[in-house]
Amino acid sequence: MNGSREVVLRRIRRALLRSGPGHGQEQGSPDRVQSTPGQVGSTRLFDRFQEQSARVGGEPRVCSDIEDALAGMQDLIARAGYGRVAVSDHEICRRHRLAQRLSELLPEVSVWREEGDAETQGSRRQNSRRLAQADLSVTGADFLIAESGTVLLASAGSSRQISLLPTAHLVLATPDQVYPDLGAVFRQLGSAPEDGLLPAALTMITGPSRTADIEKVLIKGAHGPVRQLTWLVEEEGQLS
Amino acid sequence: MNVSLFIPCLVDQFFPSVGINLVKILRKAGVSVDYPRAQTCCGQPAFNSGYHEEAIQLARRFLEVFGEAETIVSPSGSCTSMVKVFYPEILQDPDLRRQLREVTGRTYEFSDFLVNVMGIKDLGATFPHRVTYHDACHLFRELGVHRAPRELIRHVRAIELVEMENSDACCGFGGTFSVKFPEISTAMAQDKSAAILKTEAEYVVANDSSCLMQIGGYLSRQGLPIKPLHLADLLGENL
Amino acid sequence: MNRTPSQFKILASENVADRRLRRTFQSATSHALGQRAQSVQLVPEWEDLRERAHRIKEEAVENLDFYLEKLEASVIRRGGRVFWARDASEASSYVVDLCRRLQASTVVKSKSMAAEEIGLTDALEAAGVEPVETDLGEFIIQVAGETPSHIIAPALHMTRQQIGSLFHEKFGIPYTDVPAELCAFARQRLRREFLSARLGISGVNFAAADTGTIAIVENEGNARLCTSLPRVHLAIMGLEKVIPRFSDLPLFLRLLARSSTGQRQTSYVSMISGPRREGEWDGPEEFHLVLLDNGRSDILADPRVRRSLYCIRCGACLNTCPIYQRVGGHSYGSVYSGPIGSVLTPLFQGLEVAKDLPFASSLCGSCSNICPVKIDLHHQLLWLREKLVSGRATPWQERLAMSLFAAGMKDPALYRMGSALLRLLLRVSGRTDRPFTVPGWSPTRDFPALAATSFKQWWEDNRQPGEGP
Repeated sequence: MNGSREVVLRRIRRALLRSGPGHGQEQGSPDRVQSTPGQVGSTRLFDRFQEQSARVGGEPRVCSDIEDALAGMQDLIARAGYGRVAVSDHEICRRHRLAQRLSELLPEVSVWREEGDAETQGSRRQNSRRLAQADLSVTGADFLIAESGTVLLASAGSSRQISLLPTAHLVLATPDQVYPDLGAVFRQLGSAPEDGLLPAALTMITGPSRTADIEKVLIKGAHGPVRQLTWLVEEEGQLS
Repeated sequence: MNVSLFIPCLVDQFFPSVGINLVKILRKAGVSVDYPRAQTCCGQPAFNSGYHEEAIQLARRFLEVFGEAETIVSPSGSCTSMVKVFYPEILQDPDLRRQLREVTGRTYEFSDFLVNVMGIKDLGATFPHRVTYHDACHLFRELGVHRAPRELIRHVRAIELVEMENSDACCGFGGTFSVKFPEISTAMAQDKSAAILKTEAEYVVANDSSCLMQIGGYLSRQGLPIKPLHLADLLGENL
Repeated sequence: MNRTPSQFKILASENVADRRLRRTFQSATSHALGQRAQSVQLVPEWEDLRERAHRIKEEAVENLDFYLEKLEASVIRRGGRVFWARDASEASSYVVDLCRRLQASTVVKSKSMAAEEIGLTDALEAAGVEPVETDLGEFIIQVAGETPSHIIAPALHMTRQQIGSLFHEKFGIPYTDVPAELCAFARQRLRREFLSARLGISGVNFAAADTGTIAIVENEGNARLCTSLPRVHLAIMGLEKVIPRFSDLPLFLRLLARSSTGQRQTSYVSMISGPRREGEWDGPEEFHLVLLDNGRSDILADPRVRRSLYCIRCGACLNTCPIYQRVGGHSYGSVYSGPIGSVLTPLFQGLEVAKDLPFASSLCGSCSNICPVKIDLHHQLLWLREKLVSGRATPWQERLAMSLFAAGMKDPALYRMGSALLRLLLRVSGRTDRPFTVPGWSPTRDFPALAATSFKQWWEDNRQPGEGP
């Protein structure tokens, strides 16, 4: 259904005093945001990420290896009294069999791996309801942005909801995923995003969900996670 | 160098001392001064109210009167910005626009002229009082002049300059705005006055008589003892 | 409460006299400005970013037909659907029809100025569909039957006590005025709606023509919920939200976050390209994009005000405006308030309905100064004033006064004569040093007395030989 397509286009062309279609700039796009060297300087990128993430109420930390991270998760879950934990199907979680290991370590906690037949509406709905009950979710990341303490997740590696519905969201990242700024990530996303590589949803997450809609008082966990943790697993590679 | 005075109608009719002191200052700075007598008003009241045709007539007049002037100096950021910023928006005639480009390049607000053209920061004035400085909107944002007046104040002997909070916040004058929306305009004057009061200054200094009329009008109605003072008066009276 | 822009004078003078409201707006706006200033300070190339954003918006708006067609093609390529709506009713009908097809009795909605502009929630209600606002501020004012008072903080005008009483009365929960508790209640209540709604409606901050990607910027996560849980996602955007390239996004995201809330990045940015793709875990099965004209092509037709279409709805001009700070958003009687509202409302709703708005500015220029895409807002207001005058919408007394003024000022002899005559009259009536009484001015401020001698006269009497003329 096109609605008033032709009417609107005609109005626009008349407004621009043009009889036919206009031309945009096809090439020479001058507008990429450049990374700003000097802002990053010699400090390690993740240090900067940590600083920025903490500033907005995120909980970043460095884990030496996956065992360290597992111990940390055990501790986190015990301290917060989390009873239900969802683990995504991200590569890092799969490779270390995180769901399985966590349920072995914490028999009293219900741990499940997000899976199932994503192709049916019913199974997706069920997944949503289950995730809405989760206290904690553990996912991987696609990119980390040092300048703003941002995690970028693509909808290809996991559900969109696993990072959204649970009370707390823990991201396990690797050193090669840290970029200085959004511009650098966009360059990485591809010079020709038209080729269809772009997933249906790319989500940038910077700290926990928040609102200041009541008298400008800052409240965490308006609709999304109350806690947003980003752990860098160092052994998974060298810091870029 | 010869300077042609561009005196706002408000100064001419209500605050002539500003013009008189400007003459004193310019003579002290070693320039000769003339006053093209045919000048009247830059047309800003008409322009701001939407009467562009009327404003264009006065812009043309301005070019007639000042077209040959070597340098044009005005004790008002507002009238200067009318010429430099807003005339180019309303004058369409290519000949006039060419003439305007030349004229605007030689037109200055007086503190800008003294400090940035003449290189004079110290005129030798003495003023043993505590003052605060209000950044008039047009001078500050249209012309980007905020250092020059402060330089001039700092070089006055025995003076104490105390910055107020939000010195660049509008005083609420805005020409006909002040009478079209008296409640809002007064609320703005009230907040400006509160910021001034906090500095415990004896004088509030600005480079536009219109702002001073608004601030001073409110202060005196409230019975507050702080006096409005044009920078030209401050410098010229106390040489 | 139905306010209209024609009531600006009345509403503004009421609101400026409301001390609590004024304090609320002044402290909230100054807080926001402080946050903004801090984060902008950290970007040394800020001015350069503004300039670039201005140029990109210019490119998009000057070639709007081209980029919209490109956007349409990209969205369709990604499996989405595009609907062109010439006005509010066409856009609303499309959404209503969609609800009927989906048999949706409720829809969840995140914040959208375009939806607000066309009164979408009213249209849905009239069609028997319950629209649930999910942004906390929007939820509050929806429950209160109010309208937004700020582009990015819709419930800015309400106190926590008012919200506490409201929730107590409407939902029967125990009274509390603790913001975190009020927020937790809303979260819980709205979760149910998210999990059951078939349609999620969102706005659009930017739409990249080359990839068909829409970006939605938020802090709460409700837009993420609206765009990922329901089976269908519908996004509505004004035509001018299109930007040429996906790669332009980082620039605009940077400018928007810092200008609106002073954040380096908002908590969430969703970049959505079409519906869920095969193999993805979740996401809507259908994606609809509504392109809304509703007066925008008319704005486009006037090159003098065309730049108002560059607006990215950050709210910074509201925060910095000394008028907005004192009268609040509701005074403007329209969804768009502050300086950008004073430009857009007369353009959208007609100059005659909103003829006070272009004048509701002291022309201090701080709006233009702060605008992240460098819209010369106060110059746009001046053009609107001119449109009012040339359309003869100003009072005849004023028109007469202005032509007399111009005539008098054009002729130096007349000017001199007038000035002398005035002084003579004052002398005769014995009021030489008494201040004038000026309507509008004198009730709150003293007006100066006419000087005994004008500067012109002084110059005649005192000019030194050789100084001329």
